[in-house]
Amino acid sequence: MEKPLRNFAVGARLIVRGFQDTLAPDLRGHLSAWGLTPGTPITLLAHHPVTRIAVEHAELALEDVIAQAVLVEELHPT
Amino acid sequence: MNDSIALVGQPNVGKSVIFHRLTGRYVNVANYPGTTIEVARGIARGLPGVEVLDTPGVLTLPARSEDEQATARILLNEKLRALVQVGDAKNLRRTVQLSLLLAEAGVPMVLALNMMDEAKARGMAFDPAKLAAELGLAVVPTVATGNEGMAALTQAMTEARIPVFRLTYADEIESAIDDLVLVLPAAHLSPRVIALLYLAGDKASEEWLAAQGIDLFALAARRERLQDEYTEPLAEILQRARMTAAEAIVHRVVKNAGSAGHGWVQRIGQWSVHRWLGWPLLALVLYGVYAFVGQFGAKYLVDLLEKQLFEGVINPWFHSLVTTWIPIVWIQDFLVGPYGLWTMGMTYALALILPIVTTFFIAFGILEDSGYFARLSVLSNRAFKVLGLNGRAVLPMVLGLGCVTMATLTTRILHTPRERLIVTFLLALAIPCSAQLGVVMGMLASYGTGAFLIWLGTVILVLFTVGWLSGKLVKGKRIPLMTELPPMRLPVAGNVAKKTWSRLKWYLEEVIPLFLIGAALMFVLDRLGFLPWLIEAGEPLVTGWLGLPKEASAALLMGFLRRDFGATGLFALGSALSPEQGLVGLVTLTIFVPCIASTLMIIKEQGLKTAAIMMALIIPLAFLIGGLLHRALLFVGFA
Repeated sequence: MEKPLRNFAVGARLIVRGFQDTLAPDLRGHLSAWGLTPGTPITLLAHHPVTRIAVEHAELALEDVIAQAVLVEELHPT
Repeated sequence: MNDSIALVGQPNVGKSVIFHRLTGRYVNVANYPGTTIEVARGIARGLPGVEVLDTPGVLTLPARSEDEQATARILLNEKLRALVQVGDAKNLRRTVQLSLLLAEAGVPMVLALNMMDEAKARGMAFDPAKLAAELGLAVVPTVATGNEGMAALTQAMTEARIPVFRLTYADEIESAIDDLVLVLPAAHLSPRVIALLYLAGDKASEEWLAAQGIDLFALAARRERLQDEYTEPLAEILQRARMTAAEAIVHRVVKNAGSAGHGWVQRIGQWSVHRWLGWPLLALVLYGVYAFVGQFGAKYLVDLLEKQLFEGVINPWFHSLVTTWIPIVWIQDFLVGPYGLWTMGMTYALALILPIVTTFFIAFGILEDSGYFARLSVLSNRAFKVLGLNGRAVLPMVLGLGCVTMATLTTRILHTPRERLIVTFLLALAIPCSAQLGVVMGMLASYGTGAFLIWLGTVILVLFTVGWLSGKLVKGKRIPLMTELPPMRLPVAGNVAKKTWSRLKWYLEEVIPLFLIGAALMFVLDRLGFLPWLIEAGEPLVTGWLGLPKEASAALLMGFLRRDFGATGLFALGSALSPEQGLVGLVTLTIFVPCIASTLMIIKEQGLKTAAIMMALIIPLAFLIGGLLHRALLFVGFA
């Protein structure tokens, strides 16, 4: 079941499923440039002070409003 | 045969280090994205007559920021002998995604898979030869910082061939590409890649096509027809197609994806962005910088150079030399008088400014090389939110504490014109460069901690109030923070030394001529009687409003040339100023117009009109704040 990134616990292995419509197209473009497209596996590293995720071996920092708009699904339910 | 080779790749993958290895030329390298903001050129050592171009990093094309567009323009306009994509070996999926676009450019190409050491340290295992076969081009594993794989890369560059590769997009996209290719002009790049860039809405390609006299209406109509078939923007559809293909290739090539780094340096990296631990760590970093720059540089080294070497040895010797050998009094004055070229210009530049700037650039280089600055953008995001910006703005702001001119150029890493405008304005208004900061610290030290805190508090208050207002007034919306955090690394002494040297050189070339011109100008104005006149004319403002002695007008006049030069002018007044007057003078000068070089840079980056508006706002504001502070200090009885 896909839910916003902010709803998962730190350390969760997730897979990107899509984005909320609220996310502005240019911001969405940035995420996709970083490789954050549907089907991408990610790891949630932290929620504060901003959301941090690992994509491959790269670490991205996303402000809450963006993290809320990234829809993900758990890869290996814990 | 053409003779330039472009290094292209994503940000922070080591392009500039490879450029240095190939050419022997050094361009500033840093462990955060956006260090290369202009294209650098150098002749390849192993390939006589071949020019190598170092380009700003592009995550993907179309370009999203101005520095990325510079790269797109290079690809469109330069007739390249070969293209070297520099990629991060540990982020293979992202690297291959860009290769899939570049490989169709119709230019001989090599993929340098850099940072192989980091990939191996994380337990990643893959077969570069298999990747080469998948992409139809030469793949060379490299560790640029360790000089590994450079000979193989040079060899591959001489033998580079046009890749035998084609990614097939969805039918409707392929049909749009076919239609566009029919009307596109002959170019250095393949029409297919130009069509792909145009369909993705790439600004640089649109400009280039317009410059070729192509009818953009017909092209735009075709693009819109394709866009109508999708709900998502075309750029994203194309990007996803490449991402999916890259994923499949990486899946076939990689044997072991590895795991996250767990060394102690990485752990410090985690702590530096931790919601609680990040703050004490920041305090520790700031204290370290203060101890090194403020105490060791601005106090110990300045004392050693200015008091002991210049005032004690060099200046008396030079003075007697000049007075003995040059009988003409005005020339003596011109060289060693109160506004003399040597006594004012060179002594300030070498004894007062140089030690401070050198220690600042060393400290800055260490933090930059470690990857700490990118993490600072996470920690400072909330503060920048108040200014209508995001944490990425911290990079030019911190660099501004070194040199505002350099920092103004670095605003190009910001994503929107709105962010660039606000940051440029705040840099011009309230960020003192290291030279000025050093003089300010030196003066404030004699007034006590209270004075320092008042100065700091006033400047921060002005920065945030004006920043908050600018955030409200400048049109456009705030962009939330999204940034990449490069891996934390142990700073390398050689890198820090090279970086410090290249910055110092840049700085000294800018500072020394200006200090000499400034001293000469002050001398001439003094001789022509303009200075005494100005001191009289400025009296109502300087004495009446700011409460400073009338001689301080000269310092404010010097502040037009450089703020730190003005501050040194106040410094020279010494005991003629009370601590209250010194404090008011320093706050006024900190907020005052930036130096001539910065002003020229603002004109270059933002245009004459915007620069003029900024100056028209900054000058009255500096006097307003200075006068208000004077009254406030009198009110609370500050002595």
